[in-house]
Amino acid sequence: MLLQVQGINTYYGLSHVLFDVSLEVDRGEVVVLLGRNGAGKTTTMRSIMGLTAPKEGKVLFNGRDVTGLVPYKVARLGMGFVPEDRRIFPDLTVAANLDVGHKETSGKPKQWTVERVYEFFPRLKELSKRRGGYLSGGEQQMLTIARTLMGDPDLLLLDEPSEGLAPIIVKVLGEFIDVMKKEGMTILLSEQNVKFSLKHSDRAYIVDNGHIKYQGTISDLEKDEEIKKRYLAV
Amino acid sequence: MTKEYLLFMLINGLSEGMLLFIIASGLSLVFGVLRVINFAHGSLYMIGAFVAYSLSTLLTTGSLMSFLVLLLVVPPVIAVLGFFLEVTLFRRVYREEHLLQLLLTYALVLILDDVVRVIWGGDPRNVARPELLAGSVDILGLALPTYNVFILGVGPVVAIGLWLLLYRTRSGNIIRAAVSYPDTLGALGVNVSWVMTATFMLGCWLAGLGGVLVASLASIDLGIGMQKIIECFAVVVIGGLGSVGGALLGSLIIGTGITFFQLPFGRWALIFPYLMMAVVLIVRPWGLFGRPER
Repeated sequence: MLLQVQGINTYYGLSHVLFDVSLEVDRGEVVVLLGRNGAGKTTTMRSIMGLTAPKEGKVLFNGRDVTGLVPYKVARLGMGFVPEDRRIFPDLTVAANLDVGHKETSGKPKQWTVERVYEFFPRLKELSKRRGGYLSGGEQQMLTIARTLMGDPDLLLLDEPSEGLAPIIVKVLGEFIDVMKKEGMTILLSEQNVKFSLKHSDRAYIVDNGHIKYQGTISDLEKDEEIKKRYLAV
Repeated sequence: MTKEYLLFMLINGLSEGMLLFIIASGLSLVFGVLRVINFAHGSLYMIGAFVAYSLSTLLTTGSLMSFLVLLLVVPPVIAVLGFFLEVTLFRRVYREEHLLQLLLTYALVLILDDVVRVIWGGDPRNVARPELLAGSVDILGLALPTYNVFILGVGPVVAIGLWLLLYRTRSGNIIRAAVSYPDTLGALGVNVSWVMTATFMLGCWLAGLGGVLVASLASIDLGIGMQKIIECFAVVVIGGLGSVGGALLGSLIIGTGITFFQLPFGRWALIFPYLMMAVVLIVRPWGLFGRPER
């Protein structure tokens, strides 16, 4: 297993947000974490990354305990986090945003270079001199993913990537996920967009009120009308 | 009042402004990244000036070599002092409320100023100018003090250096990214707390450079830190906190403004920075180059 989350409990101040959340992602899998707004998807992602450290439980990455490790160390171990609100550095050009995402990987040959990223997202190449603050939502979403890829992650945490995007951009995003999967990238996706998630993932977890309520393959979940009705409002 | 005299005043005012810029840009940069307004920045500048004085007593008076040694040694000494202050004190208050940050840096002012009083006493000091810069130069038929013209030249060099660092290097990209989203920067694998320490050290280096330069410009005493920090605040309010370009413009406005106001108003010219500050705060509260806070 590339990622193992074992019974984590996470708090924001005094409020208990995640209750014994456990999940696993194997190498080469695309796993989706489904749930409504406020169910705990982003908190789970932030807990894994170390941005909001869990109080109890463990996060194992590549067999190594990374619980409580500061985010930059987790990132250097090969975890790539793409934040929900994109967080493009507004004063930096597209090229500079990518430059910041590049990190020194110890000895490992670099998978992702600026050229390769531009090949993947040609639109970013056209915009390379534009400042981040002047990009559209879709362009920002491409850039935030590209920026994280520049760090050569083994695991990509994609937090609600389709949120607020036009349907055509969501389609491009889906194609991107499929290509990445084909290339062997491991992805943990968090989503509210059920149709989009089921189309592009291998397995699903459903989180509700901070508890994991369901886990299974996409084909099982697609047949389970009751679960879908209860947690996903489909 | 002749045209020559006005030009003379202008050169003096601009060199005053350049000195101010060197110090204020450090304050502004530190605020941009750390979000802490460092009241003690003026004290660090003053310590720089006194360290330059002490070091100069060990060196040959008036030689260019000694002056270069001061320029090379003192700013890093202040940067190292900054390193210890950042790691032990500032780091603890980044996420605290402004009042606590204010209390910390103001307490530092009191402590550092007293340390200076204990070590160097209250007598005014100064460092002899190197012979090369001690005389005067003829510009358009005017005899201008070479040292002021020198400072007038150092300012743009520092400004260009800072610009290149911030806009043309990866370190600069990282510093500017830290201004917007430090957490995101960390998640990308950057050690943000080291970025903050380094930025703070750079700010202190600039304060130290200002200290070396002022030690040969005028006499230095216990009051220069407080006087400069107030001018610096005026500068960053006018230019916009966190903006280096704004610090440059603000410094030149304040520097020349004070010089010219001295003509008709004498010591009442000291009101000028406050006046400018008030006007900017009313018309454009986020400063000429700043942006409204999110």
